[in-house]
Amino acid sequence: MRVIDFMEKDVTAIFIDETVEEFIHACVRQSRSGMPVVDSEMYVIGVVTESDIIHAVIPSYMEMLHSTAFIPDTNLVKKRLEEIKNEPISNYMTKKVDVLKTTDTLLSAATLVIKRGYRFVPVIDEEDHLAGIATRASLLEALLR
Amino acid sequence: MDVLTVTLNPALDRVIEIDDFQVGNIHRIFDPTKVHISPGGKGINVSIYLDQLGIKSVALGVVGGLTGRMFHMKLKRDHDGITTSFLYVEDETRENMSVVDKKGNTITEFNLPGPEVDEKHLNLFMKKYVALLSRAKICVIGGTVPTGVPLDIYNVMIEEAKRLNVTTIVNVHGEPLAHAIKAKPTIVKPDIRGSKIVMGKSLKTLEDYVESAKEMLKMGIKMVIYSFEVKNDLVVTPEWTYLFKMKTKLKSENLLGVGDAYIAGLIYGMLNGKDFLESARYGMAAAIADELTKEKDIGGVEGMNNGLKFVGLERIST
Repeated sequence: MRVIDFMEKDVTAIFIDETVEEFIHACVRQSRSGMPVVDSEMYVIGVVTESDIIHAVIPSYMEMLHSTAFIPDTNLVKKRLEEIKNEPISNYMTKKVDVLKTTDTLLSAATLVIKRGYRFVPVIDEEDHLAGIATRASLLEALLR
Repeated sequence: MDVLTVTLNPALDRVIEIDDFQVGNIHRIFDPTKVHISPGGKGINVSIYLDQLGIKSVALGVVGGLTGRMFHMKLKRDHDGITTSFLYVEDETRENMSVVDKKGNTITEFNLPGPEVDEKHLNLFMKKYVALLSRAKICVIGGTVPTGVPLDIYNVMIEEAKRLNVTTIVNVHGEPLAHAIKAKPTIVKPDIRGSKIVMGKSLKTLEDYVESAKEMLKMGIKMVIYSFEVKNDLVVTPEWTYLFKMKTKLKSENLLGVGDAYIAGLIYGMLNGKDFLESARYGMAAAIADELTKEKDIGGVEGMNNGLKFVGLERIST
């Protein structure tokens, strides 16, 4: 089975110059945890997830403390989000991301998802444009068939 | 990707079959086959029919709320040949509910309001449109314009498509149609179900329709398709004018979406290298195939080819 046979054929993505606020709204409205980031010709240039934004608004030392209970004031987080909400999403995306091709096998997609722990992987067509996404659920469903 | 369909104001269609429907009564439905839910809207319907003909398309639209999510999910689940690209807004996607009472021979419809689209979201939508347009050969623009969107939006969209050498097929009505015509799309199929007034002129006789179509051709439009007296199609190009008729009287099962099936058949012909006349034959064949079934189903290429034998042509002028 190839990626094209089970991927979600949805090219919903966020443009590189869209803002953090627009990304958050898009995720909430579509129940998504992240999205591919594309340029004006639908070439994938990155991926952005909720985690990227959470990491951006929570003080960096929190990673060492392992608990948000140590945050002195939640208003700090709110204030930080307020500061970055109008920034372009490109400031927070992961660049040089792994992508799958529509012709890749289910096995290679599964390997990538397991190895890297991705919730979703952008899928590109033969001209390298965004063609959809392969999610963990779509992979599992394909394995059930 | 060969085809991009654009539906600014799609709808979730629900059809419930209830015999002896009575206002004020509770009607409990135990048979799930009596409830039909399908994503609708002109561009979406064209994508659905194209999928049945084995043609992949990208469906671009604005959806919102829980209804929008359900709409999106249903489209993805049922149509593998359709790639979706939806802009989500806060308000709910339109819902059209019909209660069909076969015993009483009535149809009761409830058309719920659609979302409001503000300038910010419209700009985002246009960005998606241009990005997807650059990869398309044919772009289908159809349906109503949501609240908040300027009525000349289709004019802007057609101009953009022309800039990128993309063939445009427009199926809209009212003021948005008038604006769209000014941008000279490749093919126009005016939606005249509500009002038979196009470019300020009332259409009554066949001559009125021909004159209206020729006026559009003079502006630079390549082909005009008018539905004439429900079952016939008037098709006009600079080279010929034909009235397409059904050869045999057939029993219609439904007329919902037949215009969209027509466009899918037309595109099938065009993408297979047929000229406008032959493509129009496929268009009518697809519409006939759809008319002979209960729901949005033309029975694939086989069903459409079967419809071809019922297509009759009458050349009415040169």
